[in-house]
Formats: sequence, structure tokens, C-alpha cells
Amino acid sequence: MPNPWNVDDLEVVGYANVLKSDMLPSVVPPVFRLKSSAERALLPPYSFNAGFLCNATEAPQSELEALRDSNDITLFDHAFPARGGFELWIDRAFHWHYQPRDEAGGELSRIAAEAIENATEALRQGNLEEAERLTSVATSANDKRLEPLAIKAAIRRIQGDTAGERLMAELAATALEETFNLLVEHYYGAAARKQPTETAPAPVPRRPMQDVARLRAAA
Amino acid sequence: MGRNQWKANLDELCRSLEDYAKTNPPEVPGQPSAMAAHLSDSLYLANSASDANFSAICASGYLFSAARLAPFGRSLAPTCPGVVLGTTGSVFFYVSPFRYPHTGCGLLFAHTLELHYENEGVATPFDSGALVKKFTRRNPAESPQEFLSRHELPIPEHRRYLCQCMDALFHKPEDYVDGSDPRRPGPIGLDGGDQRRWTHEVRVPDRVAVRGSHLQAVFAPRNRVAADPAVEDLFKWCATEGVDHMSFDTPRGDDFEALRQKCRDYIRRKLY
Repeated sequence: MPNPWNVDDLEVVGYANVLKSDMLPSVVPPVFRLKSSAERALLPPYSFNAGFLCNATEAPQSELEALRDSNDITLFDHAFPARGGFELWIDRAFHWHYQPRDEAGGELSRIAAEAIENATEALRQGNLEEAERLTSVATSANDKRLEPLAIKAAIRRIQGDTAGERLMAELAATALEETFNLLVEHYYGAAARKQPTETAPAPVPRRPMQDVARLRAAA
Repeated sequence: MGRNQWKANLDELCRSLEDYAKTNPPEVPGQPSAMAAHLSDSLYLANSASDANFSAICASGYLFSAARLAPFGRSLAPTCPGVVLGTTGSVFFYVSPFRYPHTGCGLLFAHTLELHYENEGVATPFDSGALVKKFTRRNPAESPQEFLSRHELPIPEHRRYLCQCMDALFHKPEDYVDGSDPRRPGPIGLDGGDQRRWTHEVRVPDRVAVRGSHLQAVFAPRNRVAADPAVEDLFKWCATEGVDHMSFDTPRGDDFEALRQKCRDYIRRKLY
């Protein structure tokens, strides 16, 4: 197994994806290199543990350039220091942001909320193209929100595109299932911490999205 | 080189695996296990891409070779493995879950695709591109090109060697799918790299149509399906044609890990 790397010893040189403008804003996995040896890059998949980068794939600079040329990764013009607990995300103008995870999450949630509000208004005014563009922004910023999918489903219904409407419903169902599973984990974890020797109580039916906003805010 | 040479390579490789198993007990039973036979016959062909590349694939309806894409701005450096090995005219698949990192979306094709390209397609029992920069050959005097041509196998017959490997080298056949390293390295003589050292690769020439009868399943993050019209269109086509289409969450932008996990779960559900 490769050695873990102290994040403080690394720089961010790019990210392991290539995005189009309609995929932004988006959180992306950084590509790192060693501060002490710019020739040695570290690529995902990897994980973080207590300020260390674990199980990354090491590659020479020449391989990074080949991956960039084949449209597999994006490299920045300048490297910047890596930080533990930080998130890299790309805004709609293709500018990068590197922030503490909760700050980045808050910023992306704010962008999603604003885009949903504007999409709702555009839809009300009959501007379907703008409403659709804004739902893409919202869903790229926060793929757990159901409103962008619902707005897009409404647009597809207006367009008479039943397959499109059904697909949005399908996407919403997967989002809801994932959110539900997170909630179960959350409540199970809380119960297990409090009563480690007792069996967790059977789940009680609740309104599907109840507490989702509070959970997201606390995450 | 053509199918006759590839068939001879396959016979030679199968023989060397049998010899290897005899000298590295426990010996392999004469008959393949039911699971090895089933998985090696039915494993899907996987091709994954970055989000932008996947969007282009959905829009064009084709997986194109690097050579096909070169006139449209995709550069082919003289040192890139495809140029060194002369494989830029091919479309690449792994006979496994998605294993090419830095990708977030992917396509699985049924094993029947190999029958369609029986005469011109070819397989290797490793990732050919990684021969150039990732793997170490035990005989460094042999060039990567020579090594590659010695290990080119006919499709779909290469699955016979895959079946033997699953029983002879792995703790259990499912380990090949899960990506767990084999307990014995086998006779090929490659070191270094990752799972791609022992993952079968299939190459077919020029281009492969996406919207066809061989398409088994499509995988993309939910936000890409919802935000990209080309991806949405492919998912709608899949729903209409009864092709499996899987969308998923990508926690913290780690698309490849989510893609890999989703694909492994799908294969377990379908083939185990």
C-alpha cells in the first residue's frame, strides 16, 4: 500500500475531471504534487485521514500532461498549498475556490438556493430556457435538492416530453433514497452512541423530507 | 498479426498457466469452477470517461478511438502509450468494472459486443497502455511492442484464459471482479501498477456505437444527468429501450469512487 502523505507537504495543481460550463459550479477532487518534488504528482482515487492523504496514485509530471491532453484532468496555471479539511470547487466562471469544507458547502448551498429562486421566477414568466439553465446551476451546486428536478420535470411536461418528465422523477427518487439512508445512518448513529448495548428502535414512518434541512445545516 | 497468431498466443498462454499452476501448488482442478465459468463468460465490457468526454460521447453517439479524435484537437504526443504501441486506432474496454481512474461516467457493454468484432478485435490479459509507463517487465530486453504482440489474444476466446486465471490465481473468482489482488502472480511476468496489471483489456477498431443492442448499462452522477442535455437524452433513450441506467450521488466530488462502487454493486446484482 502506498505511504500516506501529510497534506501540509502537498500543493494542489489541478483536479481530476474536465467540466463544461453547464456542469458548474462543481466540487472536484484535487490533483496534488509534493512541495519538495514538483515531478511527483498524486492522483485520485484517494482518501483523507487525520490530515493525511491515503492510497493516492503517484504519477510523474509527464503523465499529468498526457492526462490533461486526453481531456481526463484539468491543470491550473499555478499550484497552491494544500490544506487539510478543505474542499476544491469550480465556479461558473471556471475560477477555483479552496475553502474549509463547511464554508464551501455553505457557499454552494447558497448558490443552489438562489438559482432555484431565480428558476422559479423564470418559469413563472414563461422563460423555459432560462429556467432550465438555472436548474442546471442549482443541481450542479447541490445534487440533493429536489426542487431543480421538480422544476425541470415541469418544463418537460410543458414541452410534452413525458420521457424527460419520468426521468426527472426517477432522479428525484434516487436523491430521496440517498437522503433517507443518510437520515437513517444519522439517527442510528445517535441512538447507538446513547444506548450502545441496546438494539436500535425500528424506524418510524415520517414525512419524507422532515429534518433534511436541519441535517444538511449540521453536516 | 491476425487471429491465427492470436489463437496460438492463447494456447501458449493457457499452457504456461497450467505449467505455472503445477509448479505453484495448489494445482488447479481439471474442470473450471461454476463461478469462474459463469463470470468469465458473462462479464461486461467497461469504458469510462471524464464528465466532458462523456458528454461528447452521449452527443455523438459513439466511442471514438484517439486517432479519430486527433483532428478535433485531442493531441497525440509521441510518447503517449497509444502512439508507442500503435494502438491509437482502437477503442478500449476493460473486462471488469470501471478501472480507469479520473473518470466519473461510464458505459457497460454486453459480452456479445466481442462477437460483433470477432475478426478485428483483440484482447490482452492486462492494460496495454500501462505497459509503457506503469508496469515492469521481468525481461527488460524485450520491447513493450514485442511483449504486447506476444500477449494479444483473440476475442471472445481470451475469456478461456480469464476463466483459468480466476480459478488458478485468485482466492475466489469474485476477487477478479472486486479488484482484490490475486494470491499468485501468474506466468505473465509483470510487476508494479495496480489492478490493471491483471485486468483483461479488449480493443476494437475505430469506433463503437453507443445506442445499440450491445449496450448493457449507463452510469453517470445525478447532477450530470439533470444538467447536461446530451446525458439526459441518452438516459431517456435507455429508459425507452429498457437499457439499465444508473445515476448516483458524488460525495465531495469523488466521482470515480462513486462510479466504481455503483458498477460493482450492479455487477454483483446481475451476475452473482
